[in-house]
Order: sequence, then C-alpha cells, then structure tokens
Amino acid sequence: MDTTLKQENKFLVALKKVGRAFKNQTFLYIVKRVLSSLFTLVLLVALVTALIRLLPDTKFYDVATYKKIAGTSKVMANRWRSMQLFLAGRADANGNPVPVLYSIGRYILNILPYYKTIPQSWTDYSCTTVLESWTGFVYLGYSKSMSSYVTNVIASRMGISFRISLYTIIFSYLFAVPLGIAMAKKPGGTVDKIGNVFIVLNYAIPGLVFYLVMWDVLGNANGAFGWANFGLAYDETRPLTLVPPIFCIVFLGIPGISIWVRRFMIDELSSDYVKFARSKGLSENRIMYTHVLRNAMVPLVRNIPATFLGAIIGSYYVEKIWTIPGTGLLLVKALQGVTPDIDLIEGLTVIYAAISMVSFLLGDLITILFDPRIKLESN
Amino acid sequence: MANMKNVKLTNPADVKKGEVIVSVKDLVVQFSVRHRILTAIRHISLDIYKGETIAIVGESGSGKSVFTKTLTGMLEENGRISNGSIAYAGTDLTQFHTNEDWLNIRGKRIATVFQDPMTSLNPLRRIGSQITEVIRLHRGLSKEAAKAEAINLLKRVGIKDAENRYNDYPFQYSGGMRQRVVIAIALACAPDILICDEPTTALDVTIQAQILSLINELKQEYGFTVIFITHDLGVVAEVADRVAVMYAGQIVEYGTVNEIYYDPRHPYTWSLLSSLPQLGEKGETLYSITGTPPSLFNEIKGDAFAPRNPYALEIDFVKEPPMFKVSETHYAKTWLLDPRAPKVERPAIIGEISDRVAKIYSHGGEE
Repeated sequence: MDTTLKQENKFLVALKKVGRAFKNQTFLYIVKRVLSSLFTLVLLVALVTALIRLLPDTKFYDVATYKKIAGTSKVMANRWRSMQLFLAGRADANGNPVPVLYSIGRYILNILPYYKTIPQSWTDYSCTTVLESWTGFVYLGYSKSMSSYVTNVIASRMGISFRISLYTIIFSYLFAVPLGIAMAKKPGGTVDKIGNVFIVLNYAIPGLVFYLVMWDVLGNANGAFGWANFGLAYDETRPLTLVPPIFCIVFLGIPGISIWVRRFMIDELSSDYVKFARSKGLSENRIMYTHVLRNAMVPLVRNIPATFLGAIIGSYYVEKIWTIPGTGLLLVKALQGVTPDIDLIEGLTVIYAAISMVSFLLGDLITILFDPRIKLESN
Repeated sequence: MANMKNVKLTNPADVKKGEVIVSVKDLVVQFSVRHRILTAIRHISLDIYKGETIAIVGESGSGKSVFTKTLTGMLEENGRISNGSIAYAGTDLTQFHTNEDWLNIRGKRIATVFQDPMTSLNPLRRIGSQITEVIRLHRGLSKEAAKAEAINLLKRVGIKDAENRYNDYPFQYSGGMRQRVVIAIALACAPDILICDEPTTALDVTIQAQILSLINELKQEYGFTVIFITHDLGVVAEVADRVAVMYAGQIVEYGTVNEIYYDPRHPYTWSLLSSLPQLGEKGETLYSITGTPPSLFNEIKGDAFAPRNPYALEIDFVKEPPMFKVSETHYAKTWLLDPRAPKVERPAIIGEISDRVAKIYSHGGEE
C-alpha cells in the first residue's frame, strides 16, 4: 500500500515537473522552434525529392554499360537497369516506377530519428546479396561514389572537419577580438591605422593563392619552417600537420571578426552609459573590459554557432590542398562520377539544412544568455 | 606633462560652508570642428560656494553643459580649455589632461547626474553591480560591505524593496527609478560637488517634482554643493539658491534667486522670464525671443544679445559690456547699467512676476 502511494507520488512529481517545464516560456519557445524547423526540413525534403524525380531515368544508370550488357543479353541488361533504378528509389523490386508522393513519404520516414531497419537487401538474378539491410536512426540512402551508406560516410568524415572547425573558431576569436578592441580604443590612431592596413591587405589576398603559398612556405621540408616539420599533407598520426590549414583559415578569418568587434565597440563607446561610467571615475581600460566589451559582443555571439557549425560543412580548398578526409570534398565527389551520386547529394542537402537550423536556434539561445532584455516567447 | 595622478588634493572638509569651493577665472573653451574653431565658452568667471545650489540657465547651445564638463574633464575629444583657470581643492583643474589624471576627481569628489536616466545605466549589467563598482573603486570596501552600502543607498534614494531589486537589470526599472539609481551612484562616494545636467528633463512632471525634492533632501543631509543645469526656470525657482544666466558662451547675469526673478537687469533675462509658459496668462500671447543666437564660429563684436534685443543701445554693437555690480551678490553684463545709459522701462510682465509666481507656487503648481 505504502509503496504504491510512493510510486504514485513519484509519478505525480515527475508529471508536475513536466508541467512546469511547459510553463517555462524559453522551453516552450525551443520546442516550437524545433517543431517548425522539422516542418521546414520536411518541406525541403519534399521539394528536393520532387526535383530529383524530374530527372530522366538515364541519370541513374550508365547508358554505356547498359548497351554493353544488352549486346550479350537484353534480359540481363533490363534486369541490371531495374536494379539500378531500384537502388535509386525510382522503381520497386519488380521494376514498376514508384509514385513521387511515395518517394517523398519514404524519405521523410527515413530521416525521422527513430530506430529502424531498412530492408534494402536485394538479390540479383545470380542469387548474390548485393546490399545488406540497414539499421539505425537516420537513414539517408546509399552513396554509390563512396560505396557506403550516406550516414556512415558523413559520420566518418565529420570528425576531422569538426576538430578543425573547433580550433579555427577558438584561435580566430582569440586573435581577432583583442585586435578589434585595440583598434576601437583610439579610432584613427596608430593601432587603428595599422589594423586597417592589415585588414584591407588580408581581404585583397585571394584565398586560394594564400593557401597554396602557405602550403609551400609552412610545409616544405627545405623551407623556412622546415624545422617545424608541419608536412605538406594531413597525417592523422601527427596532429602537427593540422597547423598549416588551421593557420590559413584563422589568418583569413580574422578581419571578418575584427572589423565587427571594432565597429560595435565604437558604437558602444559613444553611448551615454559609457559617459556616465567615465564620470564615475572608472579608468578607460576598466570601462572597456567591464562595460563595453560585453555589450559589443551581444550582436557577435549570435553568429558563433553558425560559424562553428558552418565550418563542419568543411572547406573544399583546404581539404583538397592538405588532403584532409573531411566533408568539404564530398559534394564535389558526388557530382563527379559518370552518373551523379544522388543519395549523397540529397543527404548532404538535408544535413546542411539541419545544421543551419540548429545553429540559428543555438545563436538565439546564446543571445539570451548575454542579453537579459531579450525574452523568447512561444507566441 | 607631469603625472597629475599624484597631485595632492586638499581635504574637502577644510572648506567651510559658504566659502568658495570652485573658482573659475576667465575660462575659454574652444572646439575644433572641421578645421574651424568654435568658441563655446567665452571668458567666464564664477565663484561657487560650498553648500549652495547654483542653477545655470540658458537656451540650448549657450554653453551650460560645456561649462560643467570642464569641471570633470569630460569635454569631447576635439575640445580644449584655451585660457583661464579652475581652482578646486588647491589645484588648477585645467592642468589635468588625460582621463587618468581625472580619476581621483570624477565620481569621488565631483559626481554627475546626466539628463537621460534611460541611457545612463549599462543596460546589460545588474543595478547592484553598477553601484558597488564605484563604492569598491573609490572607498575600497569589501564585496559584502559594498553590497550592504549599495542597498542602504538604494533605500535612501527611495527604491522600495531594495534587497530584492539589487539584482535587477535597468530595463526592469521605470525612468524615475533609474534616475534615483543614478543619483545613488553619484552619492556613493559622498562627493563634494554634484553636477545635475538637466536631471529632470527626460522625466514627466510628477516624477520631476519627486526627483527635485530628493536632490534637495540629500543636499541637506550630505552637505554637498549642487550645480544645476536646466533651461526650465520653474525648476530653478524650486531648487536654487543662486542663478547664473548664460547666453552665447558667457554668463550675462548672476545673482540670488530673488534678485534674478524679482529684479532682473539684463534684457536677455527679461526675455527669458517673459517667455516662461508657467507665467503666461490665459488669452495672452506668450512672449518669444525673435531671431537666433549668434554663430560661435565667428568672433562676436559687442554684446552677443544685441541683434535680438529690442532695448539694444548703439554701443552694444560696438563694445562688449563689462560686468556691472548691482548688489554684493548680483551682477549683470549690460550697458543699460552704465550711469550714462538712458533709462529704459523693462517689460511690464517682469513687474507682475512676483504676483504670478506667488500665485502659481501657493497653489502648488507642480501637482
């Protein structure tokens, strides 16, 4: 009797907690944002799937191969073609075309994050299993060009891009924010002028040229930095090989942050509360660091998650030059083959869309942490 | 330049009530605006006495704010004091140049309350931390002691439930409450002089009255000197002991409140009083001063007010008048006071002013 009561109480307490959470405006806002993001994602999937279905069937199998097989056996060639179309999701196992709405619905079910098994197994006419069935949470199809499931391809390549992106963000802000502050301290002064020259020159250098020059200058064993042994290509056993690419991205990324830090600092410096703080007898440095900096960072922090998650998408040039197996190369690879790797392209589209939605939401949440005036409301 | 940070300031307690605390002599302030020189303050001399409330009145651009900014070194980057001296606590404040020189004066000895309470406080920092910041800096109290002191101050300036509101942000306060907080911050170090730069202009009338009486009460309690900048002569009547009237960068007349209101001598003061909306009678057209103030970019010949002055004499356009003494406390800068000047009848309204003022304030005009 007692125990059942206790259990009931526990249950009631849990229920109350949930109830309270639902009364919390911020929590409600997040729930609403996640739901609307999911809805947007579904719309996107529908649109992309419908567009892909507009492509002719010949984009999904190599016509030359079909003709070659047809030279020996027409039946075998048709059999081969229907297998290709089935793998592309355009026909069922018997070779009948699948309706567009069905394709859309199936793709949406596949990306909904619940544990599922996709019965993809396919036995070709010689009774060999071509494809294993797949189990997991988010199914994005099978990548022909990488000969693996899209989810696995992206997951295995995201790690390195994630690491590079993390270091890049940390170092960019570490250098760019103090530069912006130093420039804002005396607009038009020496530091500001030098900073401006640096920023203009930095913008003027074409990224690719800078990457290639730095690739040689930093990596060449006989060059000025030969002693550091950075190397010309990424090697996962030697983390030092990441220094040149990270240096390049950070160096080229500094102006974009610095000019905004400078600009927002100068905006804040001319405001009344700074005048009042000065009349209170606070020193300029103290005003700069305890009053102005934080206020100037509010519009900047909103972009940090977007920059960070955006970097996960990877940079094509950097990954190509230093041969880093990241996500940046995937999209180009998917487009290169004889027939485009449609599943990989669609999978990347969905992943990128999801990443940008998450980063916008995170940006908003970070802004509330920094600015108490902002309240997120669900209605 | 010698390091002014280590300048020894005399103890404010050495100056007795009624003695001169700030003495400004022949002050000239110039700004360089797009390669041209604007002379905002033209040879001002004024003594300010300990414990008094002196109001500085005048229209926009007359140099009221610039004048008080020189007392705390808050002039804009392009402004400089090009002549004169400001004697305070045994030092000449015109010797201070960098922000660091001023740190011992600002907030600690001379505090300022600005016009707009909505923007004077940092919107992203808690009210409490903005007060304790000053207390800890100037008085070196511990964190806990500073908090206790801040809560006392908040209570003193009339914030109800100060303990709980200590951790609020400025946006959770109304305009009047924010101005109270600003006053609490200004008081945090028991300053010698409180400069109020139009502290009630941005507030509505009922709150204005509350803030004015708060400043008056606190002045009695702490014994500081108040320099009150305003263009509202109604406010002046309520708070000030003495009034200095400014026009085009000069003090044209100064005296006690009674002298300025009941026996004004300068035609500009006449015009100002005649144009007071509170003193207008229903049905009468409200007086307004024609023309505009002179451009301070140009050198001003004679009396700056002459072109707008219906009582101007020929000499007003040629030679600048000196300060004529009316009484021990009352001085005016107009040729009309010269023994050789023709007798001029001042506007009728000035004669009636005592009746009208009495009528308004006996009815409690602020309600």
